[in-house]
Amino acid sequence: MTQNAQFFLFLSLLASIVLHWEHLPWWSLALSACAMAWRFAVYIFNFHLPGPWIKGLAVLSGFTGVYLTFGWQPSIESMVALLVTGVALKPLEVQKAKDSYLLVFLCFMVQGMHFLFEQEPLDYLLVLGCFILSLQGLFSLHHGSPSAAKGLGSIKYGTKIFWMSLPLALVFFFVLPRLGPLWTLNIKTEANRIGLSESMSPGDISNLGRNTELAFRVQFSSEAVPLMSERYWRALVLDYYDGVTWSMKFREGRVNKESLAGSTTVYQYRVTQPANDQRWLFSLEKSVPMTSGIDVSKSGFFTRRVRNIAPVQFDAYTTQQGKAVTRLEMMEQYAYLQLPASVNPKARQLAQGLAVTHQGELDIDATLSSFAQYIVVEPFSYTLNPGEMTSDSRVDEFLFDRQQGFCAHYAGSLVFMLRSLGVPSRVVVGYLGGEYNRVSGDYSIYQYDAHAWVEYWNNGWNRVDPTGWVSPERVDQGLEASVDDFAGFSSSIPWINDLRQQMQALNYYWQDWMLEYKGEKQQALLSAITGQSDPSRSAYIIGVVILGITGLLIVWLTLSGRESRSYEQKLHRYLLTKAEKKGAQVTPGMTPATIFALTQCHRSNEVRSLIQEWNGYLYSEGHRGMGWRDYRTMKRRINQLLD
Amino acid sequence: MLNIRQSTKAWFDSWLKKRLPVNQHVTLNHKNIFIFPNRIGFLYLAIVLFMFVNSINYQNNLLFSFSCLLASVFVTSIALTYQNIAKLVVSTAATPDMFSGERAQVNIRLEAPSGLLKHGFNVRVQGSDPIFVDWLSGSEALALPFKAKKRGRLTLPRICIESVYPLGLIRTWTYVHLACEAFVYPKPIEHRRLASDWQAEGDSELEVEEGASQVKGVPDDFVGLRNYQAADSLKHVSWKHYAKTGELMTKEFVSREGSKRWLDWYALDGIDEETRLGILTYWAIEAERGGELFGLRLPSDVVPQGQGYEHLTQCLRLLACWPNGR
Repeated sequence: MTQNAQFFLFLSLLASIVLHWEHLPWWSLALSACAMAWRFAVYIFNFHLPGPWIKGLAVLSGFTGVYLTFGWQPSIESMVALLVTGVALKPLEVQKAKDSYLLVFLCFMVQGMHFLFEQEPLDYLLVLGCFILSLQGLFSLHHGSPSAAKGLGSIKYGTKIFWMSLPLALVFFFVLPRLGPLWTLNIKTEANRIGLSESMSPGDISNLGRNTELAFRVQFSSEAVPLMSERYWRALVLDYYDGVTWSMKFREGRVNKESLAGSTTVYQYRVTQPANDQRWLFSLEKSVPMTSGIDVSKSGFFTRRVRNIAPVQFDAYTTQQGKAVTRLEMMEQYAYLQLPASVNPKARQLAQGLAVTHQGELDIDATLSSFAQYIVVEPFSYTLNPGEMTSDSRVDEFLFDRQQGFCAHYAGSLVFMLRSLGVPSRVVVGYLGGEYNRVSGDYSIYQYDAHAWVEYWNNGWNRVDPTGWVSPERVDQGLEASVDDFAGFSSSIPWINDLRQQMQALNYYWQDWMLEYKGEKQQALLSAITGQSDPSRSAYIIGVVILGITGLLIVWLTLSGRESRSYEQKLHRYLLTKAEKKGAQVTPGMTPATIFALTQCHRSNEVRSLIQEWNGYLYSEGHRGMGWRDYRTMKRRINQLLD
Repeated sequence: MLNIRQSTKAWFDSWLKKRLPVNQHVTLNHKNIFIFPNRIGFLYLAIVLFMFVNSINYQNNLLFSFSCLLASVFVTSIALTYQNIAKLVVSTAATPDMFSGERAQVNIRLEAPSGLLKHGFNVRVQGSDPIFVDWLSGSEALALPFKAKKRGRLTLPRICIESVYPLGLIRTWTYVHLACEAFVYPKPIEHRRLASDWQAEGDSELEVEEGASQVKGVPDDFVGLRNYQAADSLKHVSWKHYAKTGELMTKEFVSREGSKRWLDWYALDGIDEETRLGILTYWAIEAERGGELFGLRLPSDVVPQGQGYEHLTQCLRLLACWPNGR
């Protein structure tokens, strides 16, 4: 192995590992760093490779680390940690050429694995960079060159192979059909767990409010777009309260989608959400899905039948009325009135005090107004840093002691009070708002747009958002406007905002084309190219085209494998075969004059003039070389002479 | 079973012979280049497949595109590997004669088309060790290690040129059947039959003048009879034999004269032909080394006495090709 090859193998390995530094546990990074440092010492100072004991110890500690960090349950993270650590240790025993190949191939795998975690355009570029390094490593295993290019300068060879492979790779990508998962994956990923969870503990410290990651994005295809204060993206219902945490216990039944359709469309939209390993989807109230594979619950929540292990995109529209639910089942009554016994006595008392009854029956709307009145009059405030709550009666603590909190506190307290009055109600979590991107025309909903509000039963489910009582800005203008210490990325400088939006738009196009290019999109593109609406026909046409391209490639290879000859050489060759046919014993090295002499052609004058002219093409001063026309006439003359 | 294998091999050989005929120089192109993934290439394909399956299972389009890229690199590598070796011109170069069974070399000439650089390929005569050519531009002579097994005119086994450049995933190879103008001499065999008398007089009668022996009548060792030829001295005709049979036979002697002798086929009666040739070869070399005049007599040919490299070559080539002559 040459120094150059070692250099590139080392570099590509290093780059592939650094690529993963965010998803790797610290011990894996440390172990990799040690192994790499050792290898580097071998490379630079001729240090000796570790003995079997040290190698064994390293491997053992790698396995132990994986077990201690991730347990026995395999996950993508643990697999990647194991793979990367193994690959990092591999150079300590690279002795033979075969090991080097294996090392490069493992680097390819490690690079590909990066996409299981990160899917931004920048990540793609990084991976491609590493890929070129590895390619160069593979290449320099075979490349001995007289040219002086060594070190990083010689990377142009690897780059060249990359560029040469790109067109075919694009064809593969756009044409190859995407299959469904070949088998069910039981391996969980811990990535993308950020975002909503299936529980909410108002008192615990929250950090979702500060997360500037994209939760999902929406494109409205209808003319009308709901106001920000109407863009409640519903995801989950939390129905069960144990005194600390709201969680999901009760599951609503599904409805037949046909029963939803038919009413007039108000908004139509397309949601693109990244993989989150959950089943729920984000939708507006009264929505009907247009994409298959989505279940709709009785009160209009969307879920998918499989978990979102990949980014999801779906279309939906909202209707005027939605599905009228007129009656609560017994089980629902029970679930939406559940309360833990004997906590928050003061909150119950307050609810009783604020309740408005009309002719002996509870007037729910009036009661809600008086609740709102209470919140507005009392010194309640909206903050993302309410501090941790510790008492057993957290609702009491919030309502009477702290009086500051965010959506979860207000929503949780309201549901508690409503239920204590016997009104079936529930906490709904999702997102509120979204930022409009002028470049792409999309609405981006970030993790900090996460929100919780309340739905109560009053001859049907109604929405009320208690956060709006204390902080109307949160509802109308979004989180940025409602907190002072917002740590998001919106800048007061306009051009920075513009730049950010442009970057985002790029990101969205990337998502639409790279991440989402499959299924219907692929069919649409292919049929646009082939002009066939039938996917199997367009696949057929594309297949023929690919075969054609392959055929052309083979022809090209065949032709390029031939010697490319000048017309002089061609003519010489022609004369040779001609003379051979006449029975002359000729060899390729002979001059035309000799060949003619051997053919015993008697028209010596003509032969002489022909040869003179021939030599003129080759040797005369300022010779112009033989053109196609000259070649034709000369060939004809040879024919005349030798036939 | 063995028969099938043999006949398959014979069929393959004859197919190769037809496809790659013997030639003075061969240009490598699609007609004579073979190409196929090697073991490393299949490992690579397995890894690409693994990544495809992963991309499908995780419905990960980026991983899918990366797998496409890897697959495409494989295809590119086929083209590059082919192109690297294509257009290479292989031709014979003057190869010195060699002894059978000796570590010798075959000279060939490789030529890259002008302006092109050819990289990393192995060249070997089948059944011998390869020579690795790191890179080649222009024309270069190459001495390939080779061990000839049979004396006679040298028939080169096919020369194999193979390369895995640039990525090691694809192996491309070709067999070149080159005509070669060289002889394989018999393996020299040291034997006392000729040695004893050689040694004895070589020392003692060094001063004896050239051409004097027959006049002086120094007794030579009788070794046998052969047909009379016009040039033979009547002194050596076996008159006894003539009296018995009426045939003129000449008595054969290994000359005992100093630096002038005959290496005679018939002097080695009772030894099988190949060994005889070996012994004659050995002594021809020894004689030349000793700076002596010597001639060679074979049943079919006679090389008059002489000296020098040319003479030795003539004798050895005769021995190599016996009994076919030159």
